[in-house]
Amino acid sequence: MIRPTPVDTTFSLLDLLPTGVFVLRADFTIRFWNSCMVTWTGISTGQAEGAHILELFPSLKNPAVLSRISQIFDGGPAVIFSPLFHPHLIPCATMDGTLRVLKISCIPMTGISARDDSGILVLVVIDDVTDLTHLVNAYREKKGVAERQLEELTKAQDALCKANNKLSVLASITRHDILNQLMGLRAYLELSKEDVKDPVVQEYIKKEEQAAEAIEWQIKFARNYQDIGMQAPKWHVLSETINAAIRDFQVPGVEVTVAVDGVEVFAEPLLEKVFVTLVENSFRHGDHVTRMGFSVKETADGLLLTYCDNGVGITLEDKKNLFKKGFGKHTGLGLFLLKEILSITDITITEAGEPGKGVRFVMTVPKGAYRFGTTDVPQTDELHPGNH
Amino acid sequence: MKTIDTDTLDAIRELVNIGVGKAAGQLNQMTGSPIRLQIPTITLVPFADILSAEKSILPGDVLSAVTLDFNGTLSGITAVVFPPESAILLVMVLTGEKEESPDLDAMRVEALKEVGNIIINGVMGSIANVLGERLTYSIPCYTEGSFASIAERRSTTAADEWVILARTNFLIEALHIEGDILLILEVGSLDHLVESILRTGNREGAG
Repeated sequence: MIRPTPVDTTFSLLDLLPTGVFVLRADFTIRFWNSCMVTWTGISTGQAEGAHILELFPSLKNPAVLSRISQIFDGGPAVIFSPLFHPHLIPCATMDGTLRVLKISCIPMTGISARDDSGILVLVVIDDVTDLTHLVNAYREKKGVAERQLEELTKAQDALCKANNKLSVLASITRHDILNQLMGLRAYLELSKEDVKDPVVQEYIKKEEQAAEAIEWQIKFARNYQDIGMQAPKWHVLSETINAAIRDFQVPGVEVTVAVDGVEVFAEPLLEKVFVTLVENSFRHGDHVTRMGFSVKETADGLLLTYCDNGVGITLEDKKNLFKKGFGKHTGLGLFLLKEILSITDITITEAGEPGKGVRFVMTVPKGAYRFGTTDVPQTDELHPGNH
Repeated sequence: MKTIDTDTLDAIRELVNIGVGKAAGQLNQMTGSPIRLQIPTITLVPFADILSAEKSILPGDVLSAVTLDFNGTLSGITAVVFPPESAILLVMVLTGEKEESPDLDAMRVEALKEVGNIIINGVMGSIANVLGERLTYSIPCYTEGSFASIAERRSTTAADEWVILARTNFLIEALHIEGDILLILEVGSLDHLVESILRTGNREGAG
């Protein structure tokens, strides 16, 4: 009776893998050839198994390749052939006939119980990284384009900076000259007032003085406005910036709370002046302020940075024009400039206080323009000096 | 504290020297530039010290490393470690690519892994030859991180276990590439190693 040849199922599981896999004996004959290899190479299992790998793929005869595989049979570790150095070491075609880019790992297998094998077998695992290669190449190309654009932008920015500086110097000199002339004009107006007795002309002089005062205010405003945006925004450790701003406002009987630990905000370098102005305004206009405070709260829209006091607050009438140019008593930076300074990095500011109960300025810092350092930010209601 | 006699340390240094020398030869072939090797430093330390960030023997948070675990009569881990700039420079030299500010992307990591694989196999081949016994190896891995996080991959070594750390710094001066070849050997497996080294030494002496 003829007994059927027993089927070797030692490696049958490897047939299910979606990667190319084959097993080599020490004499470089193929012991197993999976179905993925059949598809990729067009070499059937019957043709491959038992055949010599170097006859099927002469590219493997390269001494730099062959010696490394041989080392595995001598007891050495696994060997890797990377796609950059050996993209088509074993030619495998795609459906459209182009060669797949391959990553090949040769792994020693010991202790495999099999009918005709003794010693080490080598498991060769072939990953198709063609798509990955295309993605990486596309990424490199885009990165190259981005780098070139960045270089051009940097050059343009440098040129703009230089031009801006020149304009700034010119504007500064012009302002200085105008103020000098203005001082002369006001002196002569003062002399004219003394010499001229005609009440009609006196009225004209009064109007001329008002006009001169307005010119002076506009020149000073232009000086302050010009500083905005001159330097690139930067990350501010909020507690440090606020503490620096309030340093000169330590008044007995006035308590200042700063609850912003661990928060950093990306803003114009003039941010400290924003806080100075807010506190200065509380002292100047708050009437009976005894508490002031800065606090933060993270919301879905961003970080809310709130400044409050317990003074007289702002009337509903004043609230309408609060952030308009020219509003106020023409001292300090003015809330219009504050708003401009903050808007450089898309920070908005609103006043939400109740008249008679104190001011409540809420600055909304957008996502990406704030980050947390070492201390956690309170997630509950922010501190309010009026709630103490 | 554990101690190991000078003869043993010398024997290990000699063994590492042979392995690293062979690896340097291969690196030399690949790059076509001479490799300057330092004499290996051999230290006996608790594995916990290697895992400790404060006591890190190699500075830097983003080292590029190819590692290989081995077990048998000798157990431990071998690693080729590069500062990131050297890693990318080496790959660029070997692939001949030209790029202004290259990244160590997925394809280049595979290339670096192959280079590390060749170096490590050179080292381990020499050691296995001296031992005269087969070891079992893991598949080579690429890791990025501090030296502590690289060594952490050796999960089978207990933190309180004493290990021998062999470090050889190499420099490819012409290409401004440097790196380290490191071996972390479990002390428990040393007796056999020393015996093998001495036996080989005697044999060579007799020959």
